This record gives sequence, structure tokens and C-alpha cells, in this order.
Amino acid sequence: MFRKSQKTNHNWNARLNHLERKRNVPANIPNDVLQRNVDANEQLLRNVFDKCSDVVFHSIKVKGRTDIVVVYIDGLIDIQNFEDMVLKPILYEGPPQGLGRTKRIGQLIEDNLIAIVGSKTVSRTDELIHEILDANLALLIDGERESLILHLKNVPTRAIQEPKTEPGIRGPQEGFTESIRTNTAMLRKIIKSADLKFESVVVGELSRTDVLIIYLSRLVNTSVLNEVRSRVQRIQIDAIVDSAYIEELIEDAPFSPFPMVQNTERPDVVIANLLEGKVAILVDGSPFVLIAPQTFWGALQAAEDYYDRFIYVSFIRILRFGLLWISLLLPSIYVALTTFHPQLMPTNLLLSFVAARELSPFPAVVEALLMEVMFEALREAGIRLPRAVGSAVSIVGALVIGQAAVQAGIISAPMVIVVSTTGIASFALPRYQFGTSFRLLRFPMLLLAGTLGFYGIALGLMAMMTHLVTLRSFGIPYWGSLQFSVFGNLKDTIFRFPIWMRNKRPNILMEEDSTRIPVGQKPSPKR
Amino acid sequence: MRTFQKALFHSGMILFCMIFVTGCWDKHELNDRAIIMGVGLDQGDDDSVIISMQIARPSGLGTNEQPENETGAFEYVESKGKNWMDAAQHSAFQISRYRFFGQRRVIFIGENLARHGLKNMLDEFSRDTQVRLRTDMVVIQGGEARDQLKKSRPFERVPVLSDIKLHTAIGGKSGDTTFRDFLIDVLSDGASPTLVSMNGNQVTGRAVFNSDLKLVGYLTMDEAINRLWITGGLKQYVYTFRVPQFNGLVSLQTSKFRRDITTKIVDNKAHINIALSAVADLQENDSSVNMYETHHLQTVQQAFNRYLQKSMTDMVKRTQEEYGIDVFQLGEVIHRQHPIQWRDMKNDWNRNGFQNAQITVNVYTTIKRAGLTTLPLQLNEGDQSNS
Repeated sequence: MFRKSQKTNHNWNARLNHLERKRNVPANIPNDVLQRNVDANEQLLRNVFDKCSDVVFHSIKVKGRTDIVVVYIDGLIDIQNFEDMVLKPILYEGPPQGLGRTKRIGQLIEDNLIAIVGSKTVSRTDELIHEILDANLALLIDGERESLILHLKNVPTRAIQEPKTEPGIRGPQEGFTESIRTNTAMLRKIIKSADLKFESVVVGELSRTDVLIIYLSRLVNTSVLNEVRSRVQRIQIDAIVDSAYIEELIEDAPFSPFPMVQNTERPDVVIANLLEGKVAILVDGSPFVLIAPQTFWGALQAAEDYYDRFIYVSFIRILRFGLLWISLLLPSIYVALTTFHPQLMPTNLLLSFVAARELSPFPAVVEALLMEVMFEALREAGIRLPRAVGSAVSIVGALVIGQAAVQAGIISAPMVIVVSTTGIASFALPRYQFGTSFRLLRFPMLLLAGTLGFYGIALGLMAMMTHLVTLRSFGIPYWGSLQFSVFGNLKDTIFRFPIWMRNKRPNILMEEDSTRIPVGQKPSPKR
Repeated sequence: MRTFQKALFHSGMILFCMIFVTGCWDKHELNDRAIIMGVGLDQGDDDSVIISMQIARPSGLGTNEQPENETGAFEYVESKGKNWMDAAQHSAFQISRYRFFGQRRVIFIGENLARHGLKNMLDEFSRDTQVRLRTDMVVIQGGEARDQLKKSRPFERVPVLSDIKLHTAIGGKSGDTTFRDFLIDVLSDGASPTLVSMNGNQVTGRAVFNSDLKLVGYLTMDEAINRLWITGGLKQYVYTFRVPQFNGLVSLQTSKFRRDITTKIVDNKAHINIALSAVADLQENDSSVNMYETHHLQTVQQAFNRYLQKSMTDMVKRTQEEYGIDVFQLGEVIHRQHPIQWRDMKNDWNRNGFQNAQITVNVYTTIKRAGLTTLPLQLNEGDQSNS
């Protein structure tokens, strides 16, 4: 079996290599060198950009004949700069010594005329086309076999805003944007060291999206890094619209309900994870940066945990851990208790439940499923609706479902309490996606509880835990930071130890240099 | 990787198979259950037995409704049968719902039945899978158990809870464990079972059973408290007694009860010395004595010790002579202290062994505090007598 799989692997690699070669040369782009005649080159580009109304061809006539053709994509170029720095000098002032006397006009323009930082020359048509598509400005010059490329990129971007999905009270308030340069700048701003690497991979045949693999070269776990790198390079896809595409193509257990790659909108979260030896993946056009590997405990850590006082944070962590199980189990426990094991309840509680449930026409499981589905529907509607209609949903949800259903005796009041508590609990998890996976697992748990009682819940939990401990994210055990043999790893799980006590980095990812903060920095007035 | 997948597959299969190994599928919605809060057991005429139940009536349990009848939101159901299971089966003809015994908090036992013996009842209650051990058991002194179930209680929404709480309050232990403790006592050779006895809303003392589980008599309330001190369950109690020297009553709030039982076996006869100690606070002083004087307090202390010693000794003597049954779990102490001799003694313990044992009780209490005021407020400075 092993040999067989190796063989298929080999074939796969061969195919990949073949595609790799093919990929760089999309079919409709002529693979040729540029002509000396500017008209021919222009015609070639016009053919390629046929019916691309956003591509602008601008001819500049010097001494009555077309000498220079400027090609760019409208909207992606800083027109103001182009006019000031390129067009005006050429048209009004001309070349210092006059065109006739220079040997190579391209060289002249590049050297003397254009006050622009980024410029280069290309000589192949396919390169030229890529550069134009990548929001650069191309100058085709008569008599040159090369084209001058000017970096005048000015892609429209959103301003840096607060991260909408991960707001916080304390700590940095800026979130990533869709622009890759802004994002890298935000990271580099924090880590002023050459150790911070941005490895670039281009993914997507049509989109040709820049994907950056980010790590701290001194700290990163090389096996994780290699794994990330090879998985990202293996991707073949037409276009990358969001980092979620990448996530789905590189995650370890695609059928698992648990997210295997963390995502975040906050630069500080990325940096904190890089400092623990993890790898981040930044995708152009997406404000969500992927972080690998993901662990279970990472799902309970919010950015603000490290900015608040540690005692309070430890309390919140315990609360979160409790809420995690509530969001998974509360409806199931309620159903199991009331239909299978009423003897386990305190008498007065049972009597209250009995009184409340007396009129409800449905079995407890059905009631729970109804309410859970209703809750999910409300949540979904709340997200998708235009903001102006949103309040209508909450009014309908709270009044109609919450109150009327109970008063009409269709749903019992304890069930409303249980379902809303569960809903709140699942929203209290700092990683939204992690909350979703538990919200999803709630339904099979509910069915198990409805058919087998606590026994079913125990079976479901056993299955879930078996699954969780077998998961690996990029070779790192999902439940991994819970190696009880290494106390240091536990300092940032249920309790968040103060920073002067977390002297080592979590050694599950560390290969060397695991010291983070030298010992003996406990603040004290004596020193 | 292959072995790992194998293990995963196997564990998955085991989990799947475990779905089918459940014994009882006990699925009943709450509104299909008749929740039985308490059960009364009585001896009927002509060898029949009567089982009576108090069942929660859900429609009356809501917070807004006023209770309609005396027992509030609880129904009373009674049925007769040849034995307990028979009677329970007959109750099904009156109750439209699944009878759920899992929340039964109290078993009341009528005096008549207690005198007939509880053996049959224990058999049924220890076989039944639905029964939980967290049940209180109460003997109704001079009455029928069913009357107890019909009575309303002044404080509790759930009437039977009143009896458990009363029991807990005077017993020191949680009433919940009574059924379990009773079973333990039944099975042990060195103790004979006792149960709390009540009449109406009042705790009257303790019912004493012999080894046939037949009721032989009662301990009074005072005796029950003293017994509890010896068996180690008493938490605090206010003793009131007369101090002969001062010719007045004194009340002592007593706590920190300790006991130390030493046993000796001489010629197969047990010599048992029970040393009791406690700490007391003066709570009420009806004599005209200034307790500020230390020697007066010491007089009270000596009187208290003498009073306790006498009542303890009287009680022990009475149980020895009247019942001949070890209600103090002293046999268990001998079992622990002299395990080898106990083997010869245990069969005879509840017949002659306890009756012939020589038991001495010594009480050592200390009065720690005399309360806030030293002199009785009603006296003037000059009035105090200096006896």
C-alpha cells in the first residue's frame, strides 16, 4: 500500500510540474520578444487587450511622429503623478540634448527625465502584459526592443479601520485592509527586524494574486513553514477572491467541523502568533490573514487577553471555557434531564420545569430543535439583512418568538431560556468560526440526547474528543498545547499567566531559542 | 498511519455498538410523568397493605395560581393490595400518567405497619430499579402514614420537603441519607436500625426496631438528642436544666460535641466507657446569680455535667432493660476495636450482648462564655445572692 501511494505521488508531482510550466504562460498571451517598431508593439497590445475598455493607449508625438505610446489600466495608475513626472517633462521640456542626438531614447528617459522611484525595462511581450495588468504603466518607445515600466500603482483601497470582526477595548485598534502593501506595512511597523520575512507566491491563473507567507526566520518551526510553503505552491486555481480560498485548499482535515487554520483581522494577533513560531499567510485583496497551525486553545484566546490584567483574563478564560461547553451541551442536557433523568434534578427545580412544560404540545427534543433552528434563522437573517432592516428582525425575534410562543403555550419558557443562553454562550467565543463549529455540533448532540439521554451525550462527547485529539494542523496536534508534561505550555491556556512568568515560548512549536523573556522581571518596588 | 486509521475505525465501531447496549430506554416527557413526591405505607386489615402517594399536580404548580385544596398543588392517591408491588400496581388504575418514583423524597411508615415489621417493604424497595437511595424514612408515631400525606405544611410548597427539613434540623445529618443509613444498620450486626418518628408536623423522637425489623418502642425527643451525641451526629443544641444550688433554670447553647468510646472485653462481656465532651455558652440564666463570678460558672458547669450524665445513663439503662437493643451503634465500635473477639460476640450482640454490657457514661463539658451581660438585667446591683 505504501509503495502504491508513493507511485501516485510521483505521477502527481510530474503533473504538477507540467502544469507549473504551463501556468506562467496563459494561452492567449503571445510569448515573444518586442519589436523595434512601436506601431507593431502597440498593435500587438491592442489585440491582446481587445474590448478591454479600461486599458488606455496614449500616444505622445514628438516632432510630428509617434515616438512614445503609454499603456496603462485606467483607475490603477496615479494619473496626477504620471502627468507631472512623465508627460510634462517629455512634452514641454523635451530631452535635454534633443532627441536626435541620443543613442537610446529609453535609457535617456529612464536616466534623466523621470523622477520616479520604481522603473524597469522588459523585453518580452508576456512580461509586458503582466506588468500592465499588475497596475504598472508601460512606455513603448519607437526604435526600442525594450519597454519601460513605471511603477505608478495607485490601487483604490479602503482606509485603515477598526477590525470589525475582532473589536477590542484596549490595545491597537487598527485592522488589516484589502491592500497587501498596507498590510505588510502594518506588520513591518511592529517588527523592525530583518527576521520578519514575506515570502511571495503568486496563486491563481487569472487573478495572479500575491500570496505572502510571513514568518520570523529565527523562530519559525521549519517543518510547519515547509508544509505551508509546499501546500500553497501546490494550489492550482483560476482566481483567489479571499484568503478563505487558500484556507480551504491547504487545511488538514477538510471534513472536520473544527477550523484548522486561524484567521484574524488584527496585525497584533498576527505578530503575537509569529512570535510563537507560527506562520501567517497574507493574501492580496483580503483583510483576513491566515495563521497556521491552529490549536484548540488558540480558539479561546482573544487579542485583548494580553492587554488586560492577567487575573481578570484568567477569570474570563475560565468563563469562556465554561461557555464553550454550554454552547455545545446545554440544550442536550436540558432535554436529557427532563425526558430521561428527572431524578437527577433538585426537586424544586424539577417542579418548576414540570409546571412550565405542562402545556407544551411537543416533546422536549422537538421543542429544542425548533427553537435552535429558529435561533439560527434569526442570527442568519440578522447578518444578511441590510442594516436598516436589522432591528425589525430582533423585534420580531424577541417579541414574537420569545414571548408569544411561550404565552401561547407552544414553547415552554425554560426552553427559551436554554436556547438563548446557548446562543449567547456561542457568541462569547472570541473566534467566531470556532463558535460556529460548536454551534453545528449542537444538533447531533441534541438528537443523541433526545434518543439516548445522558448516555447519548457521553457517546457524542467521546466521539468528539476522539476526533479532536486525532486532529493535526500542519503536523502540530490540535489539542497539542495541553501537553501536561510541559508546564510552560499551560501558562497560556485556561489561565493566562503574567508576561514576566511566561519566560519560554510554547515549546510545541519551538525548535530552538525558546526563551522569550529573561527570568526575574517580576516588577517590584525594591529594585 | 495505517494502524492509526485502524484504531480510529475500531473506536468508531465500538462507539456505534454502544448505542445498542443500553438496557432501559427510559424516555418519558415531563408532561407524561406523575412525579411522586412521597409515599405512605400502612398495614391494612386482613393482611393487606395500603400504599398512598403524594403526586405533584403540574397545573397547580405555577407561581401565579393559588392552591385549591389543603395540600396545594399535590394530589393524594391511595391503593390497596396483597403486597407492596400489588398495591403499587393497583395505583396505576387511578393515575393516568407514568408513575415516576425517582424523585420520591420521603417514605412514611404507619405505626401499625412498623409493629408488623418492615422486611417485605425493604425487599421491594431494594429490588426496584427506579428507587433512589436518597430518601428519607419517617415512622408516624401513633398514626397512619396516609394521614401524614394528606396534611398541609405551614412553610413548604412541597409538603413532604417539610418533613425532610425538620428531620435534618434536629438530626444533624441530612434526611436524604436516611434510607441508605437504615439499610446499613439493617445489614450490620453491631447496630440496630432506628428511624425518626413524627406525628403531624412535630418530631416526636426515634423509633427503635429489633432485628426482625419490628418496631419495639420509641426514644423520646430528649433521648433522641442524647443518642445523636453518642452516635456522633449532633451539631448544636440548647440544653435547659435546673441548677440545684442556685434554684433556677439555666440554658446552655452547646456545640462542638465530641465522643470517645473505649471498650474492653472481659469474659465475653463488654465494658464500654463513653466519654462525651462539648463546649457550652450561657444563653439564659433564670437564677439570681451573678455569672460574672468564675466559681458560679464552675458550679453551673458541674451541674450541667451531672445533669447530662444522669440523663445519659438513664437512657442507656432504659434501652438496655426495656428494649435490649443497641441503638447507639456500640457494637460497631467493639467491632472496630476488638475485631477478633467480635466474631464470637456478634451473633449474640442484639439479643444478650448489649443487654448485659456494662456501660458507663462520663460527660465533660466546659462553659466558655457567659453571654453579653454578666448580671441578670432584672436585678439591681445589691440584690445578688452569694451562695
